[in-house]
Amino acid sequence: MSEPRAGLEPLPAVRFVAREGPPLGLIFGAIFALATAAVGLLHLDRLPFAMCYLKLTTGLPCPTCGSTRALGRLFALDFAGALRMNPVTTLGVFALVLWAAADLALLPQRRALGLELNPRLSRALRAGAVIAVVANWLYLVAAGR
Amino acid sequence: MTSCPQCGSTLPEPLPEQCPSCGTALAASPPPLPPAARATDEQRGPDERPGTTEQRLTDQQGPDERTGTTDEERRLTDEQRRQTADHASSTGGFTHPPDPPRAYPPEPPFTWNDRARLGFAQAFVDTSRQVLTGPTAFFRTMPVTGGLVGPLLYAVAAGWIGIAAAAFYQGIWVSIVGPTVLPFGLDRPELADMVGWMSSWIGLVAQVAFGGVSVTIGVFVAAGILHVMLMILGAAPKGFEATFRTVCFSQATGLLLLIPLFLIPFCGLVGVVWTLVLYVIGLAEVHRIGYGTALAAVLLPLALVCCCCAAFAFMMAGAIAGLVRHAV
Repeated sequence: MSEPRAGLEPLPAVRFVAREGPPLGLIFGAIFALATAAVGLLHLDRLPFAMCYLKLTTGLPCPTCGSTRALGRLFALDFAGALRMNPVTTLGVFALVLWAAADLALLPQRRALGLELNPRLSRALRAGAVIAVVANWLYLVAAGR
Repeated sequence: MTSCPQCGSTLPEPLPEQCPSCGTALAASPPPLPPAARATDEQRGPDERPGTTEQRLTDQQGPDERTGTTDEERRLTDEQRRQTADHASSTGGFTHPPDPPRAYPPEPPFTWNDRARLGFAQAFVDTSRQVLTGPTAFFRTMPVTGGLVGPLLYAVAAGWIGIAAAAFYQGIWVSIVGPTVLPFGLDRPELADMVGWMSSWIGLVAQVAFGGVSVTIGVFVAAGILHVMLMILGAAPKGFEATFRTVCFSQATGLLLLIPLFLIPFCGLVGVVWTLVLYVIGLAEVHRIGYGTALAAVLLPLALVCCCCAAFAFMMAGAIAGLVRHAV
């Protein structure tokens, strides 16, 4: 292995930065909060029928089936139930909550959270996202969502 | 006109053997060189170079500690000087003068950003025409930074006009023909009630009143989904704002709803397809990616999540309809 050149630090795998620009985490967090409140207050997760075209036509759930019910469970603070309904959606909401909280903390400085990844980790994350969606879909099929 | 390389005085034609002013032998003299070529180290003897002997030794031995110039860089610089000298020699000492800077016409400002001068209505009409008739050129010249508010304003305006027009025409249609028939799988009494309420005049007023909010949420969600797909495909080099702007200006297709849909069959379907085409063109142009990649980023969400997003929107509308009806 070659020694790194003097004066050049190796790139960190992940770096969180306070960047300029719109607080996207806060915006998306607000939209999801609105959606979660709508599901919880209007009981949209307890409709007696499915509205997913894939489910209606093939009987198989789509990769996001169960998301509305997961939001309903989250509104009731039933985190385990939300994870059972749709794991990827629930984990995505958790990540979004953290992102929104960071943006909220940086808001007085007129900055927002930014994430910088090195190329290798970026590729690995992309592959991981695809694997997670496929694994989530297989779980939904097996669980009969 | 030729001048003496030694004293600079003008020489008569034909060229004499010696300079009449200083007596320099002209036949043996090389043709005059440009200053850059004259300063070449190769044409000077080692003792003619400027600087002290110590500096010259340093120059000859290794990297220059004063300027940080390495042997390789200096060799390249000398090579360039030699080429310049060769070119000057072959042209009798004359080099081609540098081209004057070209006077390009100033690029016109992005129409929507120029709305303070043009006026909102004129900028809106011009921008819509550009998006709908020449999307490739529009998205190629669209700035990808500058904030979210301007593009969002356009999206809300175009989307709200479309929603209001569609609601108005739908009210007329339902009052004449009756409630809309729901598609296969959704022909349930609860949904029929919901669609009936949305088609009533109260529902239409509600749609218009909340149209701006729904367009705002819609463009953020659409841009978020598309950008995640682009990131998974490794094709989002310009950041979220570029994707968001593409989605916002693609809302120009909402103006198609000004055309009464019941007069032109499949006009709504044309609008949906046109929007998707604008997404593909816009994403390809703003992110400088291939059209295949942009098409994949647009179609993947349709296959994966959009059916559920549409279902969610439907359910929300139905629930709100139910609430309002109970309240009334």
